Amino acid sequence: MTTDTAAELRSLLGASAVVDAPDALRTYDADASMIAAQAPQLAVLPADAAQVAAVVQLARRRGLALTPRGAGTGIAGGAIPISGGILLSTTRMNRLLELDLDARIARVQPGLINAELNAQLARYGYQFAPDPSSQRASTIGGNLGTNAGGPHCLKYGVTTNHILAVEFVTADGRLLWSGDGVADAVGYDLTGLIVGSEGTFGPVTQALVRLTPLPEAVRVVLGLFPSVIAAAEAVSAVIGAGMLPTSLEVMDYNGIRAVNSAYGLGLPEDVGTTLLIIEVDGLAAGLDDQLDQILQICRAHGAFELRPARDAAEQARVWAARKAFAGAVGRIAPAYYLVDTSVPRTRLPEMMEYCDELRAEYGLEICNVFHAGDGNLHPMVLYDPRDADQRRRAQAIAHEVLKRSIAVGGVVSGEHGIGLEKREYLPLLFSEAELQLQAAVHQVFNADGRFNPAKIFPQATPPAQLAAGRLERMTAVRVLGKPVPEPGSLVVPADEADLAWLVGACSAFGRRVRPSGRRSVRADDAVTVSTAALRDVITYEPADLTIMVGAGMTLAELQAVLAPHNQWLPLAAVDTQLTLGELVATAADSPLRAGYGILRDWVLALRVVEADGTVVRLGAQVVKNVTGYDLVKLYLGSRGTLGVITAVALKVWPVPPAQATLQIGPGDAAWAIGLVQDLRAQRVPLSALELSCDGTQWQVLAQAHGHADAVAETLRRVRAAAGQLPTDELRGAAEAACWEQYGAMMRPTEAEWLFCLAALPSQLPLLQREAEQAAAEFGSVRIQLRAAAGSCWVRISGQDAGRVAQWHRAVAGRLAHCRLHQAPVDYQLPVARWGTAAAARPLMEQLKQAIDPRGSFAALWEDEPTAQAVVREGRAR
Amino acid sequence: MTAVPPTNQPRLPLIGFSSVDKPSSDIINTCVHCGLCLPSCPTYRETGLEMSSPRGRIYLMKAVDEGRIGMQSSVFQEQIGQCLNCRACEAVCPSGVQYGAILEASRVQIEQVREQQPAATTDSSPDQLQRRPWWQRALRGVVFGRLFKNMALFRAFSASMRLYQRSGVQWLARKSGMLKLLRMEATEAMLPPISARFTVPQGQVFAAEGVQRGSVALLSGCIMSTAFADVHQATIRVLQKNGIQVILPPNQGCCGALHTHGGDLDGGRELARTNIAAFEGLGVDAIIVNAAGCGSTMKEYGHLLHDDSAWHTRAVAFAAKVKDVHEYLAAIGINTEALGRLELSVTYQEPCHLAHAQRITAQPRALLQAIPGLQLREMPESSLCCGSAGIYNVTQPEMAASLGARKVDNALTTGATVIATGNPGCALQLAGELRRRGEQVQVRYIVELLDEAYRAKTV
Repeated sequence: MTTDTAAELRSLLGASAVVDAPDALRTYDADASMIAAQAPQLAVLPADAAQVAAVVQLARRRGLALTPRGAGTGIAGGAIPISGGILLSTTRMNRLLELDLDARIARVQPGLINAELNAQLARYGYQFAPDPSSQRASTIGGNLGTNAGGPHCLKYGVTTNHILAVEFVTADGRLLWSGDGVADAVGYDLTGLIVGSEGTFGPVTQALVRLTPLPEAVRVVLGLFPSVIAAAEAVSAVIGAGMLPTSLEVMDYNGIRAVNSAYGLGLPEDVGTTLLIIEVDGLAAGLDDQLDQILQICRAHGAFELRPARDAAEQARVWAARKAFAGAVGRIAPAYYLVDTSVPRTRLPEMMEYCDELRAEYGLEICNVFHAGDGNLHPMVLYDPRDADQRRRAQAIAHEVLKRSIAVGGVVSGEHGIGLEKREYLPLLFSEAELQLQAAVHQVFNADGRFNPAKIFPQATPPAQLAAGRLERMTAVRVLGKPVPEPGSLVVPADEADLAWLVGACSAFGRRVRPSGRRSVRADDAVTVSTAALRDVITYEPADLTIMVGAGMTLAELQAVLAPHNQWLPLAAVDTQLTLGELVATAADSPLRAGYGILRDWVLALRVVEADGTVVRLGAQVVKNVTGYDLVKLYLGSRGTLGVITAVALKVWPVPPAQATLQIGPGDAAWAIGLVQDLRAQRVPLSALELSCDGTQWQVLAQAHGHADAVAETLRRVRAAAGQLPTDELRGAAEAACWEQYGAMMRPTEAEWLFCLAALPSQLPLLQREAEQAAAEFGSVRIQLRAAAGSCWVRISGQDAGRVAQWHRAVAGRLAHCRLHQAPVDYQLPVARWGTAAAARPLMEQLKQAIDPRGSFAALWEDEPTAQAVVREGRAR
Repeated sequence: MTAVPPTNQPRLPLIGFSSVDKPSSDIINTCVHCGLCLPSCPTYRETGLEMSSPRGRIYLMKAVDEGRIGMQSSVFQEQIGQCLNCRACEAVCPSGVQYGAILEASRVQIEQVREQQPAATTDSSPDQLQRRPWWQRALRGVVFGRLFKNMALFRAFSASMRLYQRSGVQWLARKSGMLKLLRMEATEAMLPPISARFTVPQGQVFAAEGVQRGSVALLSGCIMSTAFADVHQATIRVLQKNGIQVILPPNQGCCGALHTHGGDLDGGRELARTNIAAFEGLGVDAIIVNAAGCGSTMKEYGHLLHDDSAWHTRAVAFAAKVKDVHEYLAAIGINTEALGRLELSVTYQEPCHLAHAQRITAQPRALLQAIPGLQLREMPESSLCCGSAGIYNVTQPEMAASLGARKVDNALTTGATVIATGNPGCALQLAGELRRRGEQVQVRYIVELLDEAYRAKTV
């Protein structure tokens, strides 16, 4: 059988791409975790996506498991082919296929090594920001499989924030793109789901990754503290004071001992001595001042030495030492058990104290080297694997650390993944229903369990069984003791429990539920369930820079809660009367996405009421979390089709010390496009970069946030680029008013239309032409273009619906992404509201079906003229 | 590779490591399997195969060490043989695994077993450790046992090669297709143009120019003293120009690198003892080596002779004095006043045994940049092995050729007209590949460029 398979694989891939010698296969039996050893039956090294698809088809025909593997540097056992079968190595798919600097996107094969991508990008002044410690060897495919973090995630975010789309192989062996790299694409965020799915959703064959400008200046300081607890307290204080360093990394004395001599760091090795690596980056202007403020806080928390890295070479050496640390442990112990978990930052000192207790209790050395700024700790238990008792004690420590971490609000894994290592720990964090929801999603991508089997889910509860249990629960017949709301009615439950009961009751009664943040109702057969009464602050620890609130809280209320702590949510020019639930369900964006990203980058957790009234929590209120699938991404922008969002946990930001806006223009479209392209090409660090048109004249708004000196420098560059054109510098109330007015410009009345056309940022001229054509057609049109995102908002007023429909149909034919956000009630949709159907639409519909099997919430393409009939028909059957 | 034998088929008893020159279990177990070495490994870069990576090879050694596979494993033999021993992995290993030591010991183990096996037959299973065929054994015997141990013989052989090149026999051999028939085409193509005058160490002393700043002894070596004798002359002149007296001690020999890398540790030890005896007691500041491979071998004489109580201390003392010529020149600070201009664009190919085994990376570049007019252009993957690796060209011609091509591709991207290096194997490999492509780019030793620059000033 294996011989036949090998022969067939050879004919598909070529002889050199198939490994079947048993001794050679042994070298594939483990990854860097070494927690189990199981050789695959065969290993293959395909060269491209088509070959991977062919391998999947063959595995399917022959009933073989398929385990993807990048560089095998993972330490959760994710790449161990525990069920045998075929091991799919991506090492020969290591090319950078395409570089679009205007769009800031690279298309890569999954086997491309992170550091090599970065070396190539550095020539152009860009980086792929995720920098896991293994980046020298690990691949983009592996990074996105585990949603890898790294020391610089504190400022730049984790892998999922930098993957725009992936091509992957579906369970039936077809190649499918999760998107096309355009931000805010239509439908569910499959990209966000696949990132972090540890290869269980099918092998990724290509990825579109986001490029981030390299900082112009970097400062690194080595701070020495008397204890790891003191260092952890300093980290908490730095973040609490509103500083945003690039990186805050802690290394205790055991860590120092492992790397000190090998990397020539010359640090003291006394027991207790702890190193804090502090890095800030950005424009040189104001950077030293920012660093000084951080160092002052460190001194106040007991730092006895603060030593700047003198030059780039020394900085590189410090980071090389930090990143080689896990490997360097071989110098101080025969083996280690690395526990990966993250907690709210303010809980770090307490966790460090607990590690000390465990060290004493179990008699094993624990080494703490971790991403302190993210609250991501890595207690590393040193032990001798040849001693069974030490092995047992190391395991016990790991278990205790995780239990305590979860008790204080932490998670099972912060950045390494679950793999084989932590699958039994999952129930520590997830309820039965939450596990079932994870499994339901798993089944959509991987129903026969072929892709990376036996990972993530506890052994006793395989995903098929969990998903079946969920389906049974969702479709069970229920006897209700109370009356169910009538169709077309509005209910405003007082709390989550009440809301959950109502949703479950409606669902059981076959009534459609429309989640809403308002107290208004639409005239149809659905019951509108409003979250308007859920307006509490659930948890808010300002020093953690995270908050959890009821979904009915408005943006204005949230900003009011944050303001006394000098914090905010960077959403500007947005209707502040919208609730968090609405903002999340519609994945609202704002001009500030250029500098801060979007809600997708900040929503840490959601509480959701499922159709049967079960409440589940997705994600956790920590900034780094890779426990199970990232279902938050699925619900973000899901527009009430999957459940009712009742609470939202967010990452929030310190209010920047300074900010200013330059209003440039008016001028013509060519000038405006030229200016923003120029500013982007120069990589001027702007928080917002907008073009707008009142129907005839164009103007550009450029906003800078940060240190006062950096803001001044940024504005200077914008002025230089603007040349002779009039510029108006706005600060304070004038600036606020400008942006308020800017937001109001795009708030349509009920008689108006609001469209969003989206493309790649490099296609701004195309969007601008579409917008100008609309202006020429209708006259009274307002246009806003978000330069960094590649989206174009068009507001049309006072028109005949027929003419708009004609234009709408034509634009949707030319652009893949044309969404209708608002239209008069009687507007007859000429095409789907959310644009032309995505290639991955059938998969999205399967997700919808799996999560909401009774169709208790709206269909994803509900308003689509043709789809509606299909859905009805399906339901009748 | 062939089909997997059914698991229930009885297998031959596993051949484990013997206790003589055994790869150290302690070193093997220092590897924590992190995988950070992978991208540094040329054979992994070429194949993408885990077993062709340092981590994979250590894992195979561990499997033999722990009795899970035997040395008769064809995968084990292939991989131990395919390794270039470039030691790039060692330079990047966070845990400090001494890879070179366990690789060389594994080769010794394979050779030990081969000698005890029956001769190869055509129909035997590939998973069986075979004795080398008679002609290979004879060739190894002549080359390792005679040629490189007797420098007079080596020079005679080299002279005959020069005769071969200049007499027209080379032309005939190339044209006639005879080389192809003997499958020696690739090997022959690498044959360097042999210098007319060999360096014969007879105790010559070359006086320092100006005020004497130091005194050194030069290893003349094997191929450097014949094919690259001109490089020795350049080395001596550059040292003299910098106020260094240079001695060519008599009775010295080949450094033994080919032996230790090829699994003949005893042969290497014999040569080490010869050299220690020839160089100790000269009272020089340093023993200068201008071939990276020789330098790294000689710096490790202490390890090579660690079981030899009579020689170990002497070996350690000797090794401490060994200095690569670039390392030495950079440390004393060269006379930049006397350097003339060389209007050249140069790219630097790092010899593995300089960059990885000796961790000398900054000094060669500093020397090049000291030359006025010279423009140094860094090539991609400058420290990835060129595929020469001693006799690797002969034992692994395909891998050697693809790595050679990769290296030349990388070098050509810089647009430089000269590839500078510091090791004979690299020089031959690069020149061979350039010649094959008909490229006009030159391969030069850094000391040759320095020498030329000094002479440019005086002219």
